[in-house]
Amino acid sequence: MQSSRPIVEVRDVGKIWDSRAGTIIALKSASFSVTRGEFICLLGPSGCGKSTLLEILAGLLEPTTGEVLMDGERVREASPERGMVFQSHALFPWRTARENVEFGLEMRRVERSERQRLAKQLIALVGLSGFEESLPRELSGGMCQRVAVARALANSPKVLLMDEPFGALDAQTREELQREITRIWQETRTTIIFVTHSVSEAVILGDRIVVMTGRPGRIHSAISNTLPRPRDATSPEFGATMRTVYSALEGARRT
Amino acid sequence: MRSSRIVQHFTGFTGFVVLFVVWEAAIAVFRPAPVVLPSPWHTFEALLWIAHSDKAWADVGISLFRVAAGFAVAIVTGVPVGIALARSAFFRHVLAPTLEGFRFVIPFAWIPIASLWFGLHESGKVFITWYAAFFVIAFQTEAGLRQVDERLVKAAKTLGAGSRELLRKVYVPAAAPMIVTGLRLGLSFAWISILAAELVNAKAGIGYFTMNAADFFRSDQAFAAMGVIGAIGFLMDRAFRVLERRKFAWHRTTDAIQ
Amino acid sequence: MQRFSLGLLFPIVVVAAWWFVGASSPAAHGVISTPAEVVIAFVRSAASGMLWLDVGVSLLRALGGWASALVLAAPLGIAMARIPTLRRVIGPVLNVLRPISPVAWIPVAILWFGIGYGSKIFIVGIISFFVILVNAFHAASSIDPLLLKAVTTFTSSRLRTALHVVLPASLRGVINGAQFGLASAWGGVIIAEYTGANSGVGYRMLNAANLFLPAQVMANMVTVAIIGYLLNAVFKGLINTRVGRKYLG
Repeated sequence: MQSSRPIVEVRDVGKIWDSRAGTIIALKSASFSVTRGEFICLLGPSGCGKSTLLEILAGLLEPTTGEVLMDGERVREASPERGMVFQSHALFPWRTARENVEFGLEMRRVERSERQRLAKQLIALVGLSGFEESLPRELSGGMCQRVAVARALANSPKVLLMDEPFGALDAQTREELQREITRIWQETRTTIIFVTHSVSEAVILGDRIVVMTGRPGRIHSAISNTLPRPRDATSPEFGATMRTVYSALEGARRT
Repeated sequence: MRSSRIVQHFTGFTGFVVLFVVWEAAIAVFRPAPVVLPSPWHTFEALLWIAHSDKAWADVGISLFRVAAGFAVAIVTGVPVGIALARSAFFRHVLAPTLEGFRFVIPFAWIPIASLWFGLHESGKVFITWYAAFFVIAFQTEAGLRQVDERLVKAAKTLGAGSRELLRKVYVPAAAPMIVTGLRLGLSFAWISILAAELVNAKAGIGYFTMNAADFFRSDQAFAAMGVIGAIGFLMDRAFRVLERRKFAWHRTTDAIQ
Repeated sequence: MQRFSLGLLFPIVVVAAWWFVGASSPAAHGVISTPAEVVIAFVRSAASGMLWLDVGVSLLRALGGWASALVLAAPLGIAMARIPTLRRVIGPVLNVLRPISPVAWIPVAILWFGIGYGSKIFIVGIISFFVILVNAFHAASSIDPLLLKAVTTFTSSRLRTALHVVLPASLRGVINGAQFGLASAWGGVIIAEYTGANSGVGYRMLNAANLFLPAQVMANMVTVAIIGYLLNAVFKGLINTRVGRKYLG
């Protein structure tokens, strides 16, 4: 661990929606911290508020109560410091892969040749060299997600937020991308906060697994995952960790 | 790809051939007076005459000018109004009911009052073409902006886009296909409306030419002019569709976002 | 409620400005009249019966042309979608004729039918014909192939297939086409009545314009809009009755 101060602090964050159907408590008193360089997974069933929490972390949503601090400063709005990858890749369909990756750089007024150089570099990082000039509709789902990761990384974010990014992909592509994101994380050492509803995915990826439960959404516990990488999903240690996580989920559900 | 274009041209050609055949057959069977139904050949000759007539070219030019002017003003007024309707709930509540109401007052209905207001002056014609194109452009622009996927906007925000950049670099490109469809429709409405206006109250223009020809019992010229009118309308539509196909190839998949 | 009153804001401002300008400036008055006079003109023509006569004549022409077109275009569109030979023979001809705006047909229509009902019905017919044809064709050609395959397990008769699958599936498209066609028909009869007519709403409007009676013209414009709206509303209402809901869901 490098710095002692956590890069992200979530303090007592709550989110309440007022609708015609009544008030919905999406999140209740969520608190945890993330250390710089950590790969942390938010795990929970649908409706437990994990995506809401992620959007609050990004600054896209304002919490009703509590606050999120990044490097000690309160998060108020979306910023390239908090890059995000969505479940549906959300690539700009009218831009090629390279142009998508360049978007953040354009916002920062990076000069053109430099932009193109950086974009190419990032596309190579995510393993898509040669596909720079393809449009999203010409790429497979998995490839689009890689571009989405490259696009978020273009701004050298302090934190990369990923909202069930591999959920819409088939099992094989998912496994491949899990390996890829681990590799990218190891190469860039970006802090990653990864939302998932799959226990195995959380155990494959995360250093720490924050277990959440729903209605109202809240954090139940955090489980440390010290399995050495690369992680073998068939090993008995992996199975043991999964069992620990499952029982935590079970426990969360019952409270 | 190319073979389907050849098929398209082929069917167009077949259409003309069959049309001519049926036409000639009708003349042979019903023996109408030439003034009622001229033969295809006479019509073709009239077409050639039109092609060589400066006056006819001037008429076509005037009609096109009237359409272009009204269309241009419709773009300049319609797109901003569409943007305002999409972005400001206040603007929408104030203006939308009125605009929707005017949908039922078709451009044709404005022709008499425009002739009363503007007489034979060009501004009257441009008013009609503007009116015809304005609403569809404004509404299509609004619709295009409103169907922009929110996730794209969120993504752009996390990439550092401010509100001006959001409009220019996310909303407008995402809405562009629908906006351009609006332009295509607006142009064709403007074309139809100017013809109508010229039938009623004009001393020049291809619509006027057609009416004049019929008045003087030159049905061959009238039919030839109709062919020209159809061809121009067709080409305008085609030009836009080609533009749409080229520039909006990315739009083809309806679920660009899975 | 607040939204409703906001929506009235703009029309009220415009009408007020109109009234003011029209009432205060004689020159302007001759051109735009005042809202009050438009209402008076409207009421007067309603009272004298002229309004009803005009509307009746125009409606007759519009509905006549529209109905004729419906009867021709709907079956033809469906047939063209299902019978390739027919499509290949007639399709190209129609594709050549379609870009020629019905408005462009008006001079020839007058030449052929004079200034009576015939030319108006003809023009309205052309307008409605293509609209309905395209919609019917579209609907009939996008029938789920799985449905058609399923039917073959019941009957191999093409007629039965047509009656029980093709027709109901195409019905929605035909109805849509009929609705658009109706709106176009009403617009078409108006323009047809501008040129070469001596009766009908369109004729009355142009006549008033030539006599420099803006109040009359505008009263007629309002009539056109109202009738257009009513036609649409009545049509939609009929579709939504038990018959419509039963077959269209």
